[in-house]
Amino acid sequence: MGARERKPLPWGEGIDRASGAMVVDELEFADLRNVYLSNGRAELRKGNARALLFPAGDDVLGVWPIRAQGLSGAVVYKASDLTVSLYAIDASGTVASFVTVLWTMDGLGTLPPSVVAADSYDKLIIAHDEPLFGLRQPTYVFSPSDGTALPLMADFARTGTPAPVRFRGVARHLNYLVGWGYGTSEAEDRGETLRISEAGDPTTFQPEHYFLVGAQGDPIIGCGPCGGVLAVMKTADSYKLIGYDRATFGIRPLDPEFGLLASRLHASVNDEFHFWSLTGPRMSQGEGSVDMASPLNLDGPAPDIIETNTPKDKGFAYLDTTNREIDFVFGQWAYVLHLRDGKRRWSYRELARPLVSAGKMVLGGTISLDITAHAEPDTITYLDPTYVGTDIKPKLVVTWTIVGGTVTTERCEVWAKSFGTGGSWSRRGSFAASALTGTVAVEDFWQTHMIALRLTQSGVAAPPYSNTANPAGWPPEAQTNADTGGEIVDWRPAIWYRFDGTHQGYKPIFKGPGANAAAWNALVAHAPVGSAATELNYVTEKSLDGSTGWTAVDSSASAWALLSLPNSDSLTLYYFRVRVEGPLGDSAWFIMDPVIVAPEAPENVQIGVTDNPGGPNTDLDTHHITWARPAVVDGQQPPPDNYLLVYPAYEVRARHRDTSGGVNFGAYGATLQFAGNGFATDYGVPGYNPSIGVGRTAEAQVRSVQGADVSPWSQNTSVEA
Amino acid sequence: MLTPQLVVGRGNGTPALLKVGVGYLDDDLHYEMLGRSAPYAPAGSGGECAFFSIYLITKTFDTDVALFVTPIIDGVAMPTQRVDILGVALSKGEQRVTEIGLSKAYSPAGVEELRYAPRGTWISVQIETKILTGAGVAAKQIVDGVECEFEIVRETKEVGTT
Repeated sequence: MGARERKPLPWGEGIDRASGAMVVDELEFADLRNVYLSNGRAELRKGNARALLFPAGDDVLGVWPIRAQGLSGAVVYKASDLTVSLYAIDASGTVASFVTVLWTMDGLGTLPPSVVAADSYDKLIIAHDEPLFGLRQPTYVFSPSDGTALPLMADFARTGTPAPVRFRGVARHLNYLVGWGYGTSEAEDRGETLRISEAGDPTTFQPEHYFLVGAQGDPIIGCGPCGGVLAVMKTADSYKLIGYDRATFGIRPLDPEFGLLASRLHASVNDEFHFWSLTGPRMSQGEGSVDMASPLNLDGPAPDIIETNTPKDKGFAYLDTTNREIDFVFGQWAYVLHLRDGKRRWSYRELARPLVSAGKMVLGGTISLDITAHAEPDTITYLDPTYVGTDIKPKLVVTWTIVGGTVTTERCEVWAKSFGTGGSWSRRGSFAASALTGTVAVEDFWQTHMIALRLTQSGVAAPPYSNTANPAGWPPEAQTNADTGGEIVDWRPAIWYRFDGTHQGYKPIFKGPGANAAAWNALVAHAPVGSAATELNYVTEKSLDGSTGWTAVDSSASAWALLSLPNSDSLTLYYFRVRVEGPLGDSAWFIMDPVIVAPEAPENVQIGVTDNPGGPNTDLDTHHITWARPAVVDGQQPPPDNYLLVYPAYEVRARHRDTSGGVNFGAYGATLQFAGNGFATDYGVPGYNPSIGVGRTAEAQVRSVQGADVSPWSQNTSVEA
Repeated sequence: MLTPQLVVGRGNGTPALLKVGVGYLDDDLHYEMLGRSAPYAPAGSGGECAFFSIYLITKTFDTDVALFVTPIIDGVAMPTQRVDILGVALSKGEQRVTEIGLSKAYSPAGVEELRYAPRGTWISVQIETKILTGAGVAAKQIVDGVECEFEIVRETKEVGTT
């Protein structure tokens, strides 16, 4: 006997290392179930974790990304009422919004129904993959930008009246949408027809743009990319659509012997088109096809599982780019073709849950736009509160979150468009995505805005684009950013956002005019009701009739202003109006009661009695007369002291009533004038001697004097001995 | 960034979308792993070997795993042995090598008198997990390799040329 040795046992290749021969019989190929092979090691496959449960239904018939809109569309079948519904899934992948019921099945045909759809530009086109034409439902076009899902219409019969189209399937090819299985409005059941849309317009089909592929009566089953051509698969043979635009398109045979078993049993990997034929898996690179089954045992290990769960014509396939594998799934069982390392291996997968469809869902890098968290008016930030006037623009703080993490090279662009003013889209700012916030100027106050964000990543050369174009309408291929030189890696659909701050209240008070200078003055007080921080400037205008001829007389940042009124005529009735300006915009005009431009009568006049020191009881007593600033001005707080009106002179007159002589006051005595800037004076009331008898009463009035103009007399104020 | 996530759709009354390649459960249900190495003939398809041991090189993460190992010699399965890989005893990602003896008992009168190594040409190993057997079925599990220890009894040799 020889020495003991240790040798590794190989996984899944079945090689006799001594002879180099393939020795594993197909029946032995039950050797890898739920296992990945990589670099000689076996690893348990990963699972399928629930991302979303639709609110109603039984089967998810498919999910497709609508990359230009940053969301996905899903179709769900509900068996109890035979409805097929369309849902939109947001970029978080967790929220499904019901869009519409596409079809209500009649209970005949294949149920659950099969759906073949494709996203093209910003739309999702959805076809009912029903072999029997009489049972086939109309093809629908879902347009997330306007939230509609409508039948695809075309005038194939040239009647002048477009009719709904009933494609059996659709696929995207170059910048076209191809649809198959529908002839014309007159001869609808032409399953071998392949129709091609207008370039760049997936919803417009001209009647003359079609091919008849292969023999009549042998329908096209499915189509998929095969390198630069489109594989057009029938049941027993297959074709390819060659050419780089519609003018050069042509149909050529691809494989004369093998075709597609079912519409969804194919997947493309670069220039390879993998499909499941009547005889098992095959692969084509555009010329014929090769058998890919060996050493897969197509009859085992559990054909009963497959046939019991899902007939093979209801299976589906998908490419898992992460693990470099193609999964052909039949209910709860899958054949997995591993492509990693350039080696083709098969394994089996026994699924814990039966599956009915596969697809891709747009997930964020996802910007989750957080606008509502900054509801009005907190969303508005004023970077420079002192910069006011007609040029001021409101600013908006936008925050976002990055779902799934971000990298330092990513930038977030904030776009906005004013809805109310009909403004156009423009980029308002570009910020590091990791900042999660940015402040941008928007159109105007009290306007509804559309706000949109997108994420860019530098390092990828890109053609320029117009900043003024509507980014929502850009095709994904054109969503590039010349300014940052980056590739658009995400796009968040526009969100309606409204901010309209509330007017602040204020109540102007008019006092005046005063007499500080040669010109007339007036005191206008604005008592803010709201936050003074939002009232930055007060504008006052005057008019002779209160409706026309308004002229500005003052613009002041102070809530109290002593206004100069040049060119105002004395003893003339003037109207005044005032408004406040601030970062929230301008208030409406507040029109005050009209006033006559004249000196203002003093208020709060008081009289005190002071006995003449040392004099007899019969002498004339001196009365101390005072007047002062009012405690309240028209119900509002008084102005500061430096806004009190001061006149050059004041005049006083007084009279008295003697109870022993009668009940009526006598005539006013002489009017005496005193110099201004004082609020009190001593004034002897003529004939008034309180010592003569109890009940003697004196009263006095004061008025202001401005040159030749005098104010009305103040109200009488009395004192009793 | 914009990441198209591969998802699969459930049916049969549960309209759910499942992310592919996440975790080790299928929408909260366990699944089993089965891996069988390709048959290997150390002495060639015409030779004969005595097989002494199987070395199971495993790596596990975080949790315990129970693996069921079945050696197969010339298509005949030997008794399945359970190997518990204790995740808590290992550092994360650390390899563990477990030797599984292949000797068979010789008990002519019901009493084991000796043990001997089985002989054969082809050897392979089947490794399985079983649902809810072992604490960590729903966990990352890697079999880095399986090796067999043997002695060649008779080589495959050329006996003539015609």
